[in-house]
Amino acid sequence: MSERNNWENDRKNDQATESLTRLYQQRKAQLKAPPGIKRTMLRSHDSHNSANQLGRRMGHIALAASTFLLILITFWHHSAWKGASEEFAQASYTQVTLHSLANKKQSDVITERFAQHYADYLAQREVLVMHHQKHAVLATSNNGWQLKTCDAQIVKVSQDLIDALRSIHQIEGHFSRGDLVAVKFDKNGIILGIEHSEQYQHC
Amino acid sequence: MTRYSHSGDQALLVKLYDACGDDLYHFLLTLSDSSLAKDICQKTWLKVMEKRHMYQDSGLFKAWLFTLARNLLMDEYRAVQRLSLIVNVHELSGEALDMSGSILGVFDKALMSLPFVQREAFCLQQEGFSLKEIAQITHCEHETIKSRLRYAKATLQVLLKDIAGDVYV
Repeated sequence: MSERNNWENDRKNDQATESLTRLYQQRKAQLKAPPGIKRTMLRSHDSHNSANQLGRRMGHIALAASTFLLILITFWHHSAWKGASEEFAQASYTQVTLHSLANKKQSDVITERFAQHYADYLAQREVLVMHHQKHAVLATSNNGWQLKTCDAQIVKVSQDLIDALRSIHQIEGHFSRGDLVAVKFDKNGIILGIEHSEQYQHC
Repeated sequence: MTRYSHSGDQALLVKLYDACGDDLYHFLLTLSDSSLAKDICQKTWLKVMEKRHMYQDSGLFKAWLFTLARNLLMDEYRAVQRLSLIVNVHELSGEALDMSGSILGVFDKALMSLPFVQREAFCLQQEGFSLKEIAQITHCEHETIKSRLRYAKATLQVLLKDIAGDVYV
């Protein structure tokens, strides 16, 4: 009996659900969407696509413009650099000197000057060689010194110079006859200092 | 929809509209009035176009469409502060249709007298959605939907019997 009641209830429920569904579908069939919605949608779709196309086109234009701008900047930068280089080059080399063989008259003068310079050079060299004899023997020490070098030359040193060199500590200590000394010269043959030498005197 | 989401072809959109346009409008009309239903319909289809790339291939298009529409409708109600409290949802009523004198008119009256959430659940079920899909569309629990459907059907049956009597069934 209970099963029969349940079955009856289920059947009624199914019928009721079917009826509700049927009524719902009937209602829906009477309430169609207004055509305006579809028209608006299609219009929006067109404008949406147009906007997209416009956006894409704008994107392409922007890309092209950016590329052009980049090229322009690069070109401008290169030109500016090149201009600066040329400017620098002009600023650095404003004087031009010409070196060439002189004519005969001038050539004689140059030859003469060259000979004079060469003679001076030889004389200075001789002085330099002579006075760069660092080692000598103190021959006399009264009223100035006499230094005998190996090549039998005598270098006389005045007492004033000895005193002056002592005052600036370029001659220090006691010197007596027969001492081996080292004499320091500059390139012009001027004595800069005298000191004892331990080096053996060969000559 | 998958093809449309990739291509954006208008012909495919038209096909989608022809398949679901009336269902969507009827759903929205049942939950609002004709003006708002039309407005939300247009907004929904616009959203479909805009967000077609977001469509998940695994999902049913109709469920996605109804979710978009339902969200827009709720946003609209919130915007006009007609849905400030969830209680108010039960008070929302759709536009009563002029179907007097027929069993359909009685059904319409009964349907529109249902609370909003029950009406919503009933409509979605009639549109072919499963309980799980209805729960997802309405952001509610599965059991809640079952309960709403049970009450909705029971109320409708009672109202129909009361109003229509023997004509019903």
